[in-house]
Amino acid sequence: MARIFLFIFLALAIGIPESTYAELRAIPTLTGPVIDEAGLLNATEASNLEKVISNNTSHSQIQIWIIKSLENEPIENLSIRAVETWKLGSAQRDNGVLILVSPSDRKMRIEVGQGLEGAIPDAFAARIVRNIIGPAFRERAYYRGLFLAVSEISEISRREFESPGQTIAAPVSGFEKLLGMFFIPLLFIIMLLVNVFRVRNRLAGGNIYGARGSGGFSGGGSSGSW
Amino acid sequence: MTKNSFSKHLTPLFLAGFFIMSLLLTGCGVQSIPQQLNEVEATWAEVQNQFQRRADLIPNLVETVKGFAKQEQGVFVGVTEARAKATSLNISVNDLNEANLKKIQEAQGQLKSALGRLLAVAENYPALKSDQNFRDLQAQLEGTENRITIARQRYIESVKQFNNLITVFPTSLTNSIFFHHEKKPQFAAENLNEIQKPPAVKF
Repeated sequence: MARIFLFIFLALAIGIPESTYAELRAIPTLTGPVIDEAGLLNATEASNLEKVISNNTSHSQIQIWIIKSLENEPIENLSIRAVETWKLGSAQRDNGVLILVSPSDRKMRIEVGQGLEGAIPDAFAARIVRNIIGPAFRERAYYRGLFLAVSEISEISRREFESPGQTIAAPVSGFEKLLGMFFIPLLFIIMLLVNVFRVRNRLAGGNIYGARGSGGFSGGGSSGSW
Repeated sequence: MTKNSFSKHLTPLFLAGFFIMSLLLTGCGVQSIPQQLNEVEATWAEVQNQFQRRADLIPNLVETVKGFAKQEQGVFVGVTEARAKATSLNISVNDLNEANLKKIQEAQGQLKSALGRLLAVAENYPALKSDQNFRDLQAQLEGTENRITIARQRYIESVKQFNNLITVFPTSLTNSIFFHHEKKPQFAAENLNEIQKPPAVKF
């Protein structure tokens, strides 16, 4: 109740803050790993790309988004807004990658999640843009460029995450068992009660077609034109 | 009425009171003000982290450009001095105020323009421009500039929320009773003077 009043009060006092960004394009809902708004790919090509991406989802979540036009927004701005909305990748690995293409501006960007910045540093992302995608796009071979880039990125992230470290179980003493049986459940119940108040805020998280979607981004990757 | 039945009536009342109290507490900033302060600390740490990342790139970049353009001494000295000045300003979030944030911004702005001159030099040396090492460093520098922009945006957003919490009723009341936090300083628009001036065109 108090929260509702607080919300009404704050809404009256400062206005709804989101309305200040009304002039920027809305980020679409994620429907699948390939969103082609410009009609650059035919149905077979799009589904092929989706297949390649879906085969590698355990190591990375790659998203392709092809837009009609940037509408004068810097590509870095649009791409960080998109990944902040979609939260590509998993929470533990932060392994999302967005390939954003605007054919009418001849601009593109690879946005790399924090967990893959080691495997795909900016210089490497720049090489993918310059040496793999650029030449193909200049020949209007959009499918080939994207396919090669996706394969390259999947392969790198597979190598990065291939050998998960094994956890070794430590011996458990009698006291620790007792602790586990009584104290920790009690603590759990207290934390649960505390969290009931906070859960509401978490529910407004990312919008993802799969069960995942909580990867972090800090602006890694590279932009380029062709 | 015995004492026993009195307490029987009192216990649910007490529980209900406790429940309402805790609801009020979560809405009035006892939790959200420290949480938001942590958020400000985290976002400021990220800003400094990215400043450091840019500074770390510079020695390599200078060496690479030197390999192709030894005679541009003035530019190298400019970059090195700007870097030294920028890295000497390392301020924790607790000591952050309008004045020293402005200083940091000035030093970082000078570093940015010195780096701009360094990259402009490269335009005159085709061999340098096509050097793979230089291109990689350039991509890293671009990436870092982008990361700085994003880290700044996130800091600005978190400070906005924090300042709202401690200045807007009712959480402002909680702050004045319990926490006594001051407003955190905001970044100003970068190079305001340069934005107002139209760019000079030379032929």
